[in-house]
Amino acid sequence: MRIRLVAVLGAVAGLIASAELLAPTYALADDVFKVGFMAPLSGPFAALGDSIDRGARLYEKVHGNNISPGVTIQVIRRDDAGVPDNTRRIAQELIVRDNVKVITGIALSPQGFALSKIATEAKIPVVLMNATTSSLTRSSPYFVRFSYTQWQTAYPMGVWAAKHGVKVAASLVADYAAGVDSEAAFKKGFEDNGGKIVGADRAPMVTTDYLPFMERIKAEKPEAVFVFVNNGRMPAVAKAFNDAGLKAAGVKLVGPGDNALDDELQTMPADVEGFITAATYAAGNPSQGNRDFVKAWKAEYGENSLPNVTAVSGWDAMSAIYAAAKELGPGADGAAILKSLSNWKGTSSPRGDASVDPQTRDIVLPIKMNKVEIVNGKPANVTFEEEAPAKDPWKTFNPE
Amino acid sequence: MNVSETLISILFTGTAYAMVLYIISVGLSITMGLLGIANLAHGAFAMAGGYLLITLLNRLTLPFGLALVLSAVIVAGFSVVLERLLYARVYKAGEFDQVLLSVGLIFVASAIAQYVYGPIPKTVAVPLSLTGNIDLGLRTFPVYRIFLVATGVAIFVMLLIVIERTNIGMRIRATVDNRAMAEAIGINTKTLFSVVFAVGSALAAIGGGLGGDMIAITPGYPLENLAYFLIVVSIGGLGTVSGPFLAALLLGIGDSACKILVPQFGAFFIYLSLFGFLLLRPGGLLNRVQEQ
Amino acid sequence: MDSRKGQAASFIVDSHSFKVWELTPWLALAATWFMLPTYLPFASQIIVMILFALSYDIVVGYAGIVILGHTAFFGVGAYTAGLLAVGGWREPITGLICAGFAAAAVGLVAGAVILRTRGLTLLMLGLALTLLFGELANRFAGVTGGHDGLQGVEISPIFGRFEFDMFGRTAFLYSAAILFLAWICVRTLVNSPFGRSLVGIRLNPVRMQAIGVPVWQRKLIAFTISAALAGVAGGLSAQVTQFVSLSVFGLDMAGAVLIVLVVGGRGRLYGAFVGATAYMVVQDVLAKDDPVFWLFWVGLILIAVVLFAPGGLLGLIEKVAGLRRPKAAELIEGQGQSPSGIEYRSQQ
Repeated sequence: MRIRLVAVLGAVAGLIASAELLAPTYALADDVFKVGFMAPLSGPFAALGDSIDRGARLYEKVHGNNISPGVTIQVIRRDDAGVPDNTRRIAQELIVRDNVKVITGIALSPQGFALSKIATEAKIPVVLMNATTSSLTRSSPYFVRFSYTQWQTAYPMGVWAAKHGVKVAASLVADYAAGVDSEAAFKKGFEDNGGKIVGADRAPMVTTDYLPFMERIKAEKPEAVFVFVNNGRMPAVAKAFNDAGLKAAGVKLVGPGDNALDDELQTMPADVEGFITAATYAAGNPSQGNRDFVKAWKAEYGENSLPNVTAVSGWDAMSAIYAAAKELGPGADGAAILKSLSNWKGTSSPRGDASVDPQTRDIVLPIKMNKVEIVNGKPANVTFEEEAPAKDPWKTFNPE
Repeated sequence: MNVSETLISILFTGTAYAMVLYIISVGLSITMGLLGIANLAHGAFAMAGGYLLITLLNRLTLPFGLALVLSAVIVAGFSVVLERLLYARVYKAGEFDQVLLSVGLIFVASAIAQYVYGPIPKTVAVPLSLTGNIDLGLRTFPVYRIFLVATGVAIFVMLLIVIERTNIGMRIRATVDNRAMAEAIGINTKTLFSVVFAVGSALAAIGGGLGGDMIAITPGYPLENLAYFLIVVSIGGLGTVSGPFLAALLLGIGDSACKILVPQFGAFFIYLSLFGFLLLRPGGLLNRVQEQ
Repeated sequence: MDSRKGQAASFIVDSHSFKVWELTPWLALAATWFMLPTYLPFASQIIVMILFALSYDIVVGYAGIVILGHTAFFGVGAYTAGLLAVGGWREPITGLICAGFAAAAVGLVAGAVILRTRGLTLLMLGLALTLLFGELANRFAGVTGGHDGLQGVEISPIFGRFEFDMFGRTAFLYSAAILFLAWICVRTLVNSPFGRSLVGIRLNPVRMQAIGVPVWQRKLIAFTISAALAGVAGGLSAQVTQFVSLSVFGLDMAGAVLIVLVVGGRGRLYGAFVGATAYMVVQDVLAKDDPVFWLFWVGLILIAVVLFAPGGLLGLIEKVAGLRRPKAAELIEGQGQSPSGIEYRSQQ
């Protein structure tokens, strides 16, 4: 009995001791600007998390950790596996335990929403590196988005289609928030410019076989099909599109750039050729800023590796954080950092003339019209048109 | 679309998908019926087959048929090792322990897949001779899907012949019906288990590789598709080769019908019909295993 | 005959009395409060998991109903509590009670339908149940927030005084209190004759039927109670994090609670405590460095536990500390069989 008691108390003591060991050491806050980076590095969204992580890490590597004499920037990385509960808890820990000045990462909208209250309460700016739901930046005055919204890509896609001879279109999206968002955006852009939507289907996220959907769409006889599906499903969609005979009949396959990521395109089958997308980035962008970026990327991640729209958001977000840290120093308060971030201008951004609109705290950038063509035997995005920098249309249609 | 066109679309798309499900799941049905173990990790063999096929095709540029057979053989061999080392030790343990073992295997397999191949889904480069559409008068059909249907039917027929007409098939059926009795009359059940396990895994590997462009090959494959394989097996009943065939057809065609006719129904169809079906016939369609 | 009866009787009476080492979890919680104040949100998450695992243990560990979809009840509880708050009813304690009741109702109906089956069928039906609920929640995304999650969940201060603060202090105390109440209930339940009859049903349902125990009824009652507790766990999670998303119905959560029970030891009241703490702490530490290998090691540990330590951590501790289970239990369990139960075919 006594032995048991001793063993038990010993176990409890051991537990506490190990917990103290696990607790991070508190660095002096004076000379280190701490940034908390949270993304799904495991789980079903690992590809997204990995992408923004690479972009961010590349920036850190190229620019180093010394932002000014005696001041360093430290990025604390945490994996939340794409689970919003984790996101919230980890954010709390980053703020309370690690004393970060800025939180970044955030690949998905649910994770962003899970954070909004904390960010507002703690007055910590959150730099969204992905997370594309338009209303997200309104859920907290401390959110700044560096990626894009579904409306920024799908709406111009609709406009483009209507203005280029497509009178009748059908849409097929994955049945989740981002998919539904882009479906609505495309519809508005398309119908506002004279087009007519003849079918709008939503496929469950678990779908892997799209042929039945394409058969159904075929019956509506559209001139273009707008698609937006969750990660990894595009080859199946493109194949189904061809198998149903739609490609042969001259129907255009269009969509936002999310499904034609430059790195993933390389390994996709030739079925995706001809896919037209409206995207915030293309790896082949000829600007000097992008050429330097791609060069650094290949040097770090391999000659055959390519960045994509999410990786470049990570890069740009990091550059804004570095700028704020440099300008304000490690003792800065949340409101000042927020102001700096909200007024960011990316003069040498790989995405061209990108900047943040201080009123909506959302990104403003030029949209590229890309077409997938076979280049050196592999599918790749070729930009054939570029629009002027534009804000998120959703906010224009839904004023606060 | 008029009625006959719709019908043909549904039947065709559904059957091709059904064949992939069947090829993968039939091994699971026999294994579970024969060995009595709940092997939820079966999808991992299909995933392994898919990844191996991709590696053999891309890295070693082997011809498609050879690569397919080779990947099946490698997976089969590996599965026998697993069976002897791990599964054999939980034959007598509770069902819960078997579920746990297979979940553990799924995690390990997914982690290895992610480490080696990365999280981005991979697609199989199908040989050119099987791509494109073919015009059969009524309408055009994708060649690859026709190939899948033909392969599925061929495998089904082959399995049926083996099970019903050969010695080994007889032994399998005997052991499924009554293991104790089979052992008593001298059937070497241990070797039989290993052989059946190997064949089941080989089939899964083939199904995973062939079905690669309909069921994407990602590290999450075994968990994401677990429900579908289990549905085929539980509706089809354990221990037969025909049960899963019927079940896969029902599932595939039903799924296609829903997508074409009432897509807003979404995933409800599958889960609701599973519920209804299992309640009416808990033993499955053509159950062979004696419920005690 | 009398001495065996006497042994069995004293075994039951004995189990109700409190032993000193049962203070451990409460000591640990107190220690956390005083010595690890920045870990309180994490500790609250662990408590939620402990509650959920406790509910799962009643069904799987004690009653032997092997089912995979317990997240259905967790999720129902979570969304009930969350939706109540969004709808304007922000009082936490009544919200939690409602969550428990909602989950119990679903559990009763679902149990009545699916408990008649067993084996693979039961496993599948449980799985289908949680997937169905997930689909429902997604379908009504306008109400539930769908994949983006339920926003606007605000909880009023407890008893009108204790506000939910950012450091997680109130949440921690609230969770700990709920855990304490639940623990008292579950402990009494499993040590009661009803609870012991559940163990009997798990080990040999045919024999239990033969001695006149209404097997199916008992299973249903256990199932419903377990569902209620799972609902409370879900509701607590919603209130403490002030957020609910579709992941409450997902396979990740279902897998996690399975691992928790396996690692901790099932059919032993404290397995949930040990397992949940171990799992979440290790995950937090390891996942930081290399998330892919976390998955790998969890899988390996699971396999190792199944093969070498089916009783989980508590089983190992029992062996090492020389704690022996009383003779009566040994007689029931039989020799040489894993405590988890008898071979699949003869399970009812």
